[in-house]
Amino acid sequence: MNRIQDILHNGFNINPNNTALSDASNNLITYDELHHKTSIVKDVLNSNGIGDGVRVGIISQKTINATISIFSILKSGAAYVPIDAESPVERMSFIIDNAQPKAIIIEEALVDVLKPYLKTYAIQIDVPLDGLVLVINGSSDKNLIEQPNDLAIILYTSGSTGIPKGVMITHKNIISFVNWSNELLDVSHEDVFSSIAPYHFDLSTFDLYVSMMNGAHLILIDAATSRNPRMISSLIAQRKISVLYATPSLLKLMLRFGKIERFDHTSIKHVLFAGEVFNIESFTEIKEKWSTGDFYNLYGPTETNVVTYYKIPNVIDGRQSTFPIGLPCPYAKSKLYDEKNTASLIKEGELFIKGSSVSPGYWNNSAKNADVFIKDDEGEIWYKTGDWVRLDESGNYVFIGRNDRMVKKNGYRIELAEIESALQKHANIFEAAVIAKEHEGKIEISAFYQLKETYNKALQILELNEHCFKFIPKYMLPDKFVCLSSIPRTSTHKVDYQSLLKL
Amino acid sequence: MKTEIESKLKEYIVSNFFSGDPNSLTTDTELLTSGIIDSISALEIVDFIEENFNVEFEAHEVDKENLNSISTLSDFIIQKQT
Repeated sequence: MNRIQDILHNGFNINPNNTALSDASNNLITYDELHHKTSIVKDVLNSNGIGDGVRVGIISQKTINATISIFSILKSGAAYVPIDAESPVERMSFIIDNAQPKAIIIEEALVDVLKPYLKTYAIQIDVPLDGLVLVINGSSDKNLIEQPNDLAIILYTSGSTGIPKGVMITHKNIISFVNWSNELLDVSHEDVFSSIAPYHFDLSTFDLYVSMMNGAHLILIDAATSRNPRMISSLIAQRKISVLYATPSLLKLMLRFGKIERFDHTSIKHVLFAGEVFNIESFTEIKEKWSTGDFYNLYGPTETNVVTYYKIPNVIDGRQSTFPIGLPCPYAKSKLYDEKNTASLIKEGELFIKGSSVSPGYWNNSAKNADVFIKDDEGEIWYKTGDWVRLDESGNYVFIGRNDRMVKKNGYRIELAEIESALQKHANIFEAAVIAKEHEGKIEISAFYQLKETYNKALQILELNEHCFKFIPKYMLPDKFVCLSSIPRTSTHKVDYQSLLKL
Repeated sequence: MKTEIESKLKEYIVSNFFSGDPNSLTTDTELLTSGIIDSISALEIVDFIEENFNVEFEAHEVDKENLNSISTLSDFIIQKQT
């Protein structure tokens, strides 16, 4: 298998009559229908000049038709760029400008909202997908940057300068990961996978492609449904979901609000989690409720996909407070660097990763590439994760923390600087400093701001949230805003984050 | 009966989620669409109702239509109780 299309074809060949996709409202499509529909849409794309070497944006809620679009884009030879349909239009527009997609498939309801940003996408083509429209950039065919010929997806994550970065994911990246997942788990066409993560989030590649590889049934859980854990509980019971991949935050919500005890969840076989640290106490609770399942802690930034894994043993070591992130996947090589930059046999340091799942770099962002995708003497590329880890006695990696000021909250990576830069765009704010700290096992983001001298009334939370939401997605909004007469400084006049942490 | 349910709900929402002037929160104030309560607070309200009014929400009933105001919540409770 060389391309993701081969994965889709594999699933189709297993049993064309099996259900491929269904949504929360129980609309469904078989593999046969999926194959047929994606072929039609692929032809429409190809006949409009969309294929190898170009990118196609997709801005839609998670629906069967949005999923058909993604598969059709891949079949056409193009790469897809999923853009969060719930994010502010300014962010969508930034991503469109940066990704320079040749075409975009957009939810009909969003076309008017996005119109001012889509001036060059003047050509509108009918696609046989209800609720979606295809717009094409007619102004220029020329790529400003050359696209790697193996490019499959670009996933945008937060950037340290307040600018999202597009992580390029290749066919090879996905296939390495899918093949390994398939060996790790006991799955077949009889399994029922859930797709909880949105498509712009890296967890989605497991859901989409491991399920399709096996000819299994994938249940699409859209954003609104994912905010209702009781609905997820109900879907697990009704559709007999057996494989579930989610962030610990979501699993904790399932525990708190999912009313698991009211439903039959004995179909659960494999539960995978990633994206943040799962405290053992909450984990144990969910493990007891889902006693038919086995559990895996997966680790890997978007830039490398999953690169280490840890199968949770039946008997949990009571001395631990969190689980190790585990051993490197067979396709990944790892090494540690400490402050002295020596990669000798140290047991603790910053984790570097290379291997077939590692992204070739950020799209259209050469400056950032040079910082974190580092070539070794043999010419191979290592990704500098920024994660500080240690090796324990049994050879497992244990996550310690972020090297810089990135935090993970609810599975999303958040650069605190991006929130600061959003706040600083407010007309009455002189300066802002944002910190994150753990509070009762949760990451809490506090934004401190200093007003301009011409203005002396603290701002309303609602106004601040609304302002920030123009520039950053909802999941990045601070939990707390604090107005200070001045932002504290260190002796070298840098923002004194340490003292803010104590406030 | 409806006013009794409504005042219980209002009391709960005011003391847990609403920071403004309690008099400005009416039974028709939009809770979710206005941002007064977020999706997690909505789930807490559902739990509060189940614990205090002896009703049970089906999974699909935890939705915007039922949760968007004190009035729609009360209607839901009454309809479930009868």
